[in-house]
Amino acid sequence: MTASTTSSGRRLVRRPGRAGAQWRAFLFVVPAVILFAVFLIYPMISTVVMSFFKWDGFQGSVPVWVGIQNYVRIFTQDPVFWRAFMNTVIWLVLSLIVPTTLGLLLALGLNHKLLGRNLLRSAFYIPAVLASIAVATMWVWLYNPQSGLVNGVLRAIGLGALAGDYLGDQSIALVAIFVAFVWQTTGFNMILFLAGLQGVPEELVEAAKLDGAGRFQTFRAVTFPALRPTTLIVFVLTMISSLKVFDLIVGMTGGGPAQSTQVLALWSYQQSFSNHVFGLGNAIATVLFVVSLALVVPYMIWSLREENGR
Amino acid sequence: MTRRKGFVAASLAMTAAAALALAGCSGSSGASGGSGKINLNYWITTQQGPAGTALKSMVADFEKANPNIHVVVTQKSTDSLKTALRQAAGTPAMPDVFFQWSGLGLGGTYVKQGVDLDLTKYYKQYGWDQRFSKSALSSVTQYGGYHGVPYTANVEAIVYNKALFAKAGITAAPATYDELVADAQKLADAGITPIEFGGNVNWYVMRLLDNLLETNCGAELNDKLTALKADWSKETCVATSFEDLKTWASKYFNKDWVSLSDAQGQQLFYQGKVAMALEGDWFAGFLDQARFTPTTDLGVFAFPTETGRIYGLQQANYISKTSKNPDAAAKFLDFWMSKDEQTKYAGSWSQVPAVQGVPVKDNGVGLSQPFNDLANKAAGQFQNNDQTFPLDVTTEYWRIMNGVATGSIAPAEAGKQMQSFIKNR
Repeated sequence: MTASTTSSGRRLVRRPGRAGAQWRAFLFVVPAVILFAVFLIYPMISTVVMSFFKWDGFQGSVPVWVGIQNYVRIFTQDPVFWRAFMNTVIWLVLSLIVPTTLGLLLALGLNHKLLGRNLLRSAFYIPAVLASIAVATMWVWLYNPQSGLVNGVLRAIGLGALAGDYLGDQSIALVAIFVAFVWQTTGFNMILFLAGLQGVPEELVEAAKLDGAGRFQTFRAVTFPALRPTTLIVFVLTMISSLKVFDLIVGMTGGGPAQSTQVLALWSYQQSFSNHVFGLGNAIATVLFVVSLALVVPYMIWSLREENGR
Repeated sequence: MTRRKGFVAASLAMTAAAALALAGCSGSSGASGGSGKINLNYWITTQQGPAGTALKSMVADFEKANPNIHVVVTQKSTDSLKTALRQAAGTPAMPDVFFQWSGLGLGGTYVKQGVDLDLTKYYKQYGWDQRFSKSALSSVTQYGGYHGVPYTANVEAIVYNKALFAKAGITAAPATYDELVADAQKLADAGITPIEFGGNVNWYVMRLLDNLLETNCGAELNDKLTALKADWSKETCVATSFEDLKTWASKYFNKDWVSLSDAQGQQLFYQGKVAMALEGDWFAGFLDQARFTPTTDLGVFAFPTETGRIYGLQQANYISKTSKNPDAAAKFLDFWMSKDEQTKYAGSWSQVPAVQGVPVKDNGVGLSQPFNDLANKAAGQFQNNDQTFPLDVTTEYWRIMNGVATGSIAPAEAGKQMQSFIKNR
């Protein structure tokens, strides 16, 4: 047993095992902290720092300090940045509405006992486990203007006038890619909502029914409020995946035609690793980082408050 | 005992993490090996088909003839190679020999950075300046001195289907740009798609725009424009070229070209549905693989720019300034580009030999000799603009090109947007 004296003269008595346990716990945490610092914190800081430099990627060339010039350039002179920014915002908004709503509707439907329910749940979830680049390849073939299934079906059902080059038309290419995204992500949202639905108190639903509430009223007054934590998780995960959207666009259009489907994550990557203008690429990455923080931090504050409130 | 076990487990976890981190940080062992045997590191893009087989076999030939030299070939995808070279440039990790396209925007970048060796000494020693074709040599002398050893000197022209031309009532290949446009119109009128492109790879349609600029601006001004030494917004030929591009895209390209890949576009030519393809000499290999028949229907003519220059691209192998074995590297390149080795593997790397006196080897399609004739007849060469421009300018050039071709950018605005980008970069 060890003892020490505080400034007020009180003697603190430490139990022999406690310091050792803390030390052991610390050792267990250290590897994760090191990896976190090396592979996450350091790259994040260096990204922000590099956004104030001009560098062509050559190991031998010295990055030149340019202050906020890269930001001035992306905000006022880059012909692609605002298009990429707007596309990212459109993607985010659509993501928060379409796959989430569809996921909820599917979950509500497949929460009831019906024939082949498990098979349907699996079928809707399968796209979520596929690699995005594989999904992209598949949808490129589906959209193929000459031999793709989409145009084939449209022509077969007498809607040939709607057949077209969806990925080649600047006005609808982004929406065409988004359809693939919906196909890929709806199943995952459905699974989350299904899990949430298992936590809805059955007695409350029964009570609402006894009080004469219809299906919609029961959903509005009982089920949906009970799904609030799940809905928030779905929203946050959707926000994060929307801001990171990259591989589907690379695989389906590469950001084209004429950069019309460009998004911030891809534009940042292309500026750095295709164009080798690392300062601009990192400035775009920093903007994306700030936007992500602005959206995710409020959620983190909310969840911490919820945690403390319990 | 339990506490001790916990401590040991925690320490092991930390050690493992540190080892992982260090492993991630460790670099390559360097360019050269010890124990009397020289290790030559060579980086190149991934070589497939006959080119890959020939490379492997040629390296084996070299090592047999030079048992004290071992060549370590590392093949990377195009973008990976570019990134890796930038990271390694000027450091011991740089390979002894590396491959690049020799245009200003690619190979020229490494020359500008001073990461490659001026090979004047080896050109004299091995007589390389007498060995290569004029076109191939011009690609390595354009920066002053001798930077790189020519690898290929490809030419690009219009491969056409004579049967479809005849069906449209065209009896001879066009000699002027106006005749080309007139022929395209005749083909369209006959219900034949004049030319194929796949727009999801930007460099394919770019070939047409590059040729339109050469046609409308002339050789001298085109060179100034592509070297970013002329004002794109002030030259009327620029607007004319983009106007022509729009016309071609809207009237003469295959339907739905925007989202098709190059291979999907080419497929239309193989199937005899499209009359022309703007392709390089390597297209003979593609036609062979696609079993195009009858090959007697195939012909080739230079894009009628009327400047006398032929469109094309060159590739070269460079020796790094940091190489510890430049003599061995030069010996390797001398062996590879010797007349004997090039004859042995004729047609594997290019249908147009970069080395003089190497026989043209046709693969049965019958286009190799015509492509060679175009190369030999040309007064000079102009390069693909994605080789000439810096990388970021190429990206913008493609954006404007696609915007004009698909109608979202007015042709008159194209030059202004291009110049604005150049000014701001």
